[in-house]
Amino acid sequence: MFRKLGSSGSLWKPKNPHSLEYLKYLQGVLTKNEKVTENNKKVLVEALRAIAEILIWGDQNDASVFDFFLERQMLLHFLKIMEQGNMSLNVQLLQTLNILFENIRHETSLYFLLSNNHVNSIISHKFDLHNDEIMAYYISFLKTLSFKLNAATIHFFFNETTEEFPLLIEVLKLYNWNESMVRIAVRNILLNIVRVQDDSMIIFVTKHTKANRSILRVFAELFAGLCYFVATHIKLAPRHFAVTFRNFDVSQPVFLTTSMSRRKLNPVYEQSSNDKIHESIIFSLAVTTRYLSPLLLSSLSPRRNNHSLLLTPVSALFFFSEFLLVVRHHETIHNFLSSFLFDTQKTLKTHWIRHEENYCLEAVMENLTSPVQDEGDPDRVFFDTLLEAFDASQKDDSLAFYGLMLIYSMFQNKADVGELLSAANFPVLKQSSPTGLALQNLARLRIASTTSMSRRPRAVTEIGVEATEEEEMFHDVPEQIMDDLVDDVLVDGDENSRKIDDLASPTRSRFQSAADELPPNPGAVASSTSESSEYDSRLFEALSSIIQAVGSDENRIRPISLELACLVIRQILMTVDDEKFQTNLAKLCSDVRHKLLKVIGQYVNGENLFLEWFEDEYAEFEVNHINFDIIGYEMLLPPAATPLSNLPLHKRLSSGFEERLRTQIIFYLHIRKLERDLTGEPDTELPVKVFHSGQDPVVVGDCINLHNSDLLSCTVVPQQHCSLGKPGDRLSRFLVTDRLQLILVEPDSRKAGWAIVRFVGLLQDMTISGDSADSKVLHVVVEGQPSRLKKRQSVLTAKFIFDDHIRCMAAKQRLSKGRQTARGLKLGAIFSALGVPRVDPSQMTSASPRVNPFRIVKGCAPGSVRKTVSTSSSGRLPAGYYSTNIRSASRNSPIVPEDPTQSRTNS
Amino acid sequence: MESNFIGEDYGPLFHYQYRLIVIGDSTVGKSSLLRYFTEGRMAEISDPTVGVDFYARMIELRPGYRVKLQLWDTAGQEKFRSITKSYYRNSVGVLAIYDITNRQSFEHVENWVKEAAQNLGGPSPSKCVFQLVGTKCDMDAQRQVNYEEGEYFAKYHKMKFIETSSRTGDNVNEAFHMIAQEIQNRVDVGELQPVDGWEGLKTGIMRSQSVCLSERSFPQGGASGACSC
Repeated sequence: MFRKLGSSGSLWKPKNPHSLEYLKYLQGVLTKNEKVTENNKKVLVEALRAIAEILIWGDQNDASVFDFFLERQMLLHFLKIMEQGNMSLNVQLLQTLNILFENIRHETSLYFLLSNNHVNSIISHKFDLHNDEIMAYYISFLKTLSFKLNAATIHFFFNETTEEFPLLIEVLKLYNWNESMVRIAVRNILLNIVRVQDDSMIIFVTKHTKANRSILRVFAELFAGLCYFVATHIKLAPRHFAVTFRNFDVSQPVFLTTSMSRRKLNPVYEQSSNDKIHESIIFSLAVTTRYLSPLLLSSLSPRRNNHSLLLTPVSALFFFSEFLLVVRHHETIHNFLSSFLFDTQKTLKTHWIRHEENYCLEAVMENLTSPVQDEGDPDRVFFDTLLEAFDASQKDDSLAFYGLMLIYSMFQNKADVGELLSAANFPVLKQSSPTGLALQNLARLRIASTTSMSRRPRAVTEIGVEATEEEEMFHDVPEQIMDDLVDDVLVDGDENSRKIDDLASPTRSRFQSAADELPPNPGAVASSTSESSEYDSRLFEALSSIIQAVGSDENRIRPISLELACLVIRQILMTVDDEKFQTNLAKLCSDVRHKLLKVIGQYVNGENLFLEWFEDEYAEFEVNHINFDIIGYEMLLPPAATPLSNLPLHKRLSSGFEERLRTQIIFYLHIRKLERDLTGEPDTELPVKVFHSGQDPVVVGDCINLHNSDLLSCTVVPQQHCSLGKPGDRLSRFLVTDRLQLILVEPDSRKAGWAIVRFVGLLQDMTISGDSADSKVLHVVVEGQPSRLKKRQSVLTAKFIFDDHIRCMAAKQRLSKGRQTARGLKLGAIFSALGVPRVDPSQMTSASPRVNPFRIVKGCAPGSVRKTVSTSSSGRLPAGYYSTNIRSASRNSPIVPEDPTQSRTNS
Repeated sequence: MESNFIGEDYGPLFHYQYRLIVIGDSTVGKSSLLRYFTEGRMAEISDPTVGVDFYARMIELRPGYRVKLQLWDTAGQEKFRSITKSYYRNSVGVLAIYDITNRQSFEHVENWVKEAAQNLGGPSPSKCVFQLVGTKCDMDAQRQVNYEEGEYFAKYHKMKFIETSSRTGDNVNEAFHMIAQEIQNRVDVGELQPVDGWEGLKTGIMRSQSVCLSERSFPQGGASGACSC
């Protein structure tokens, strides 16, 4: 205390470490000890540590703390200390800065810290990076900074005019640092950089690419490196790498790859491919040699080395399809796809091998096979793996899903892969003379690939063989040409197929074996082409097997997989005009549909909520779920089988009776749609229509003639915000019902006997309940129909107050009866759409009462003794009585009846 | 005599604290003006401001009545617009700067003022003070904007106007005095008042109280209260 009095700059230490006073004290410490010596080192380290703490505290609690930091230019103190290069102080300094940047919440404070190149001078300061501790804090400081990068803050780091970007430059220097954590961080930082949407920065990157090839190489490496990083981490997870997705550190880079590559890799790619210079080759070479071939393709083939690094097939398929969705670089895609579709395992010359803690790229140790042998080995191992993915007998459908996704992305790929796919007999849109073109292109491609990628040389004729082998789907090709081609290669083809038979090992998928064993399908074109149709039919068999599996009781297919399968099949059908395939598939669909119908049919009459389920699922069915931009990690996780996973039903397996039935319904709808598409029949029955043609439903705002209709006058009191009004409003309305609708009208002042519609709801979706306290009151909840855009939710929750209890009772009767009839009509329409025999309504009510116990909550019956008293007296009471009565009533009674669906799940 | 000295003890040596923001096109001399004001001499040629910078200085509005000015210097470059935007909210006064030798910078003032007006915060953003400042008035030969034009513009937008030179120091202090006085006037009539959560305007007294409170928790802290004014 006295020392403080003595001198203004005294080092009196306040007790509260979280106060402005304490910061003042620390600032004093810093100014007193500008020169770092052995003696004051400890004090300074402690001061720096405490400053970070106070500033963070101040950021959240007391703005004057940061003001002081600003006024005293304390950041400059930091820089001065940094320049003195004391190791332990610099460690602490980096740590303090790291804490500051990571935790400061006020953007104005953060921006100040980033301003005026202070940060850049820290970044480019020559720290002693060979000191492990310094390095660790330095790199994590850079990483923290990189997470603050966005379109606004990039200008703090990247100076367009002076072409300075210290963060990038320094990070690139550490690209090949000998410590893996540093390398990982570097990649992370680079990703954070390229993720920023700033054109001039990307131009900077690409521009420097021209001048300095290594940067581009880095980006290619980066891609590979990242995947390598992912891969090494994937190893930690036993089955699906996605398990680790829950772990933030790992999931981030994975999603970064996706987002980065979606947005940012493409410009780099395009730039380089436009330039038609070496870089593109280097780039594609790097990606291919480091990522695609050794990692992805290796993962899709049998393990050859115990130490090799492989992804699970699910992740490999996932990355593969992501790659196809993202990258458009012609050459890379073509090379990659052609190896995927045609090559054998021998095409893999390198793979990642684990050496204790590290992984490195090594050549595959194998007896070098002569090109001749190579030629005679048509085993398309990668393609087989893809087909195997569709084996529905597996425990779950993730593989199938990602297999489908892969096929889907092949179609979606923008790198003009049409010919390649046709050559592999993936049916795609073809030119007028597809065969010749495809062959030519393929040949050209092969030559290109052999030269640029130093692949093993292949004779053009051999490609011809390969291409024609799978020629079945080229139906628009004149028979003559086809025959000629086939003649040329018949011998080879024969040989090949025999070899495949020999090779058909137990590990092969059952489609393969089935395809091998099966004689050409009856009705198939029993010509020379049938023999070469093997691969092709395998693909179709595989796709069909998913449809098939859906029909079986114990399938493990999720609705979204079926949806994707249907999508892929439709894509194929758009271009293929194959009678046989279509009829077969249609037949299969119809079989499956009947199977499903049998299951569903059992419950149609018995389940009160079937109507709701069907409508909900129909709405769900109309939504397109296949959008790979929004399909997140959840599909990479092992399929969940419980609603506890918080996934929507279509992305998981069903649990319990209701969900199973719902799933069956959605399966049915998909299959039905596919079948209709195949046979070309329009679906006239779905969506279910209950209004006859020419009889439009009444809509709000209509003016309707109510002459001679049953009208019930009532006061509507909305309990929730709705189209009628806000809670507490009292609206005079007339209640009318037609066959299907509940209508509230207001008399039209201009036309007697006419009224304007104020509200319309479907009777089938209405719930009514009496009020235990007031017999003149009905509680009405009307739900809206589910649609593609919104789920079922109530559109009107209101209290209807009638003039007396007789009218109330009449209304109740009319509404419940109307509801019953409306539901009957709707169900009838569904029955006829499904083709299920309808049980006689009278029988039905006795067998399973149509009155839904959950829906109609019986209140105290109007006319009961207690009520009679209150109602009879109420007529004479002043108006004020009503409102109090009503208020108390609404407090006592449940306004919204129990949600039937909820009670179902509970039971 | 004014002093740029902010009490070593950081004690309650001022009555109010005003936070101002200085805006205007790139290279009009915002940083030079602020540096002249805070350092009392002409600054060497400086690099363009990256992001924001911060200055503070105490001034005496009338004998014994001091206010502290906290000054946010902002980058004029377009690319920092989104950054600088976030500094308006906690400002009570805006100095819109243009270069009298650069016609365009004057023409852009309107946009700057508009942007500031849209982003100001506090309890009564419309009462925040704007002031127009023309810089480099020592370079009369290259003048592209007449004094009258500036004056007219300021009058039209109901703000004060002054021309300064950060080379000779002409009107530099006056410029800041002018805006501080105007803020003070509005504070005096109650149009502006300090509120919690708004950094534009703060009382020095309040701070001294808060300091006193924290010090009172220490048995030996009584002495510091004595030096408050």
